[in-house]
Amino acid sequence: MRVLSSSELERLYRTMRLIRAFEEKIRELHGENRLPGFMHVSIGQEAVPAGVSFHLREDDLIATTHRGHGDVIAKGAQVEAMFAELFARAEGLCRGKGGSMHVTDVSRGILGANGIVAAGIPIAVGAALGLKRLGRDNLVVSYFGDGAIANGACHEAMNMASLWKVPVVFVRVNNQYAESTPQAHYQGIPNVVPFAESYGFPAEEVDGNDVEAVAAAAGRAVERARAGGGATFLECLTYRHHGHNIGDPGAYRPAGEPESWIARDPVVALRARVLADGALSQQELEEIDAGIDDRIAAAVEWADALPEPSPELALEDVYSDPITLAAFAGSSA
Amino acid sequence: MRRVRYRVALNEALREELERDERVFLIGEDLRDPFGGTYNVTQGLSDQFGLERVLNTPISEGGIVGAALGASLVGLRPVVELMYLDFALLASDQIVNQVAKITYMTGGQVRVPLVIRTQGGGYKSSAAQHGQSLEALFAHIPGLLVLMPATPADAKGLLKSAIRLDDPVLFIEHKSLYLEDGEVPEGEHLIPIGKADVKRAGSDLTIVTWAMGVKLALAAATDLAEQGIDAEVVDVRSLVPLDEDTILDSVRKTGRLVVVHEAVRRGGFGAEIAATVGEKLFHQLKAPITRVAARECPLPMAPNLERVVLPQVADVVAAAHRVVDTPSLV
Repeated sequence: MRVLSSSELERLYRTMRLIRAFEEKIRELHGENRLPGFMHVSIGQEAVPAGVSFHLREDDLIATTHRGHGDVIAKGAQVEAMFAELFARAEGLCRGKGGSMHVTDVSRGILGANGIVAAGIPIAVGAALGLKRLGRDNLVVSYFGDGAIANGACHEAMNMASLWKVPVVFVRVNNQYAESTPQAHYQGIPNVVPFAESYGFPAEEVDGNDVEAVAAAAGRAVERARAGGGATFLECLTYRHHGHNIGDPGAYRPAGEPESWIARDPVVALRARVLADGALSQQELEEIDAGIDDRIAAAVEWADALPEPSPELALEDVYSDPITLAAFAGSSA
Repeated sequence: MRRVRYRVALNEALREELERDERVFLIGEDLRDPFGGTYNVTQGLSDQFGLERVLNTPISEGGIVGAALGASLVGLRPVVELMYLDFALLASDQIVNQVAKITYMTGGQVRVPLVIRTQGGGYKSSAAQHGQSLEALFAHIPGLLVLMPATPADAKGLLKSAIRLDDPVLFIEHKSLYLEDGEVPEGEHLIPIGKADVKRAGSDLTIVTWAMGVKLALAAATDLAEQGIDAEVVDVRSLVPLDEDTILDSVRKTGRLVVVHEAVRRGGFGAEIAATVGEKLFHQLKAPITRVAARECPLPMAPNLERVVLPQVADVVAAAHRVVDTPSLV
């Protein structure tokens, strides 16, 4: 039975396909040594942010991780400004100073990717606390990887979220590896849903490769948060097709494992699904794909051609208050 | 002028800023009444402003600072209390990697109006984990301001200014100064950020210091005056930004510099001040720059051993004699 309309499925497909094209292009460019900086791609995980963002409003917020391209694109970050950031241009979202691990677009509710595992979780809870205090009805999604569950910051934040009943959705994107270490080697219990439940809020396990399942679970979590019901924890099981970062061949994975997950590729699966039930025709899909690929190619061409940032940019944005800036100007001869 | 205790001056600052701006709120451990903070700085505030604006937290230092940062990103102006500066190390990821850097990492997309109040220092037998002077660790981090008031008036005025600032401030109080009293003006009282204060004018040598060092230096200056030596005491008040002009003007006048701080000497912020003066006034120095600081060891609990480790008034007096008695180099 189909829950979502054709146009809703198309929206999900477009999001996932855009993330995929963006990250495939990053791999290609990185391989050609055209992008500086560390890159962690989420290829294989696209159904999670597409499904979660499906229910988010423009004024909802997200905080995410070093593997956050998909999360921020699904929340509305423009791939043009993201490519400019990855090419280290002043026109990038963070003026070229943040790069892949810190990509942020506050104007679209993106509080930032984060280079420190689990560090974004308390920040998300604090933002949710602030929204509650301000009497708003928007909410915060806190994305984190499976490895973050072993970090104290995660538990401190979940306890505070429970205590203060703030509008937050915790999304654990379980790609099954904390860098190179499989879950069985860093987690004392096989399933962490009881961790979340022990803090007193609902937790749901979701097939993170099934975008409709993710969207359905996220819908319940978002509704609960918006209605003042507090936090929800979504355990989204998925897989990254590639290594931890670009350059890591992922040799720690058992033979056959990547292939078995690639066979369940969420983008391919959704494509087959919309074709099978007639939501989109082959021709429509091809037109969507071509449009996305053209957009990516144009974005790369534009970003690559931009000049390097001017050197004085290096020392800007350390502080922001004019009083601070004046105090520094007066004190260092 | 009325005299007020350092602790009370801080309480007044918080009360006035909570009254002035709805966006300001306090967040930390054990803040609520009747307890009112481990050093009673938040006494009466949760009764007056309610438990939402004086938010008591679990013992989760990293979580507290992270949550405060998140709240600041959506438009609130949090004032964190970390019970001890030693405990700030539990929040060091949030302070160093997040709070200090988010404005920069995002290319200036966000401002961080966040004050982290904490208290450090010894002279109280608080032993190795409750009395460190760790300001140099944080002064080393671009993106933070580090303020350390020595008097009730500075405590009040600097805290109020810090709360109104749109950049993150580490505000380090001193546990042995909470009961000190001093003159504090009635009504609105603000101290400019990044301005040192000459606490005693003098002509023979300059003592640059902060926090508890100011008390030591002023006591030493009184002793020195009886011995015919006229010391100028410069309280930097703000390590970051550092008011180099006031320091350099003083040393230009006296030609001699003693830096006094409670933190251990190695890698202490005194080295930064000494290096700065050395770079900029080398040819005007009449004597080598001298530092008075703690010995290179953790803080012992035993009072007599703590006196061995931490700088004393007599150490400052002796250092002053060394620089004054040195045959002039210029």
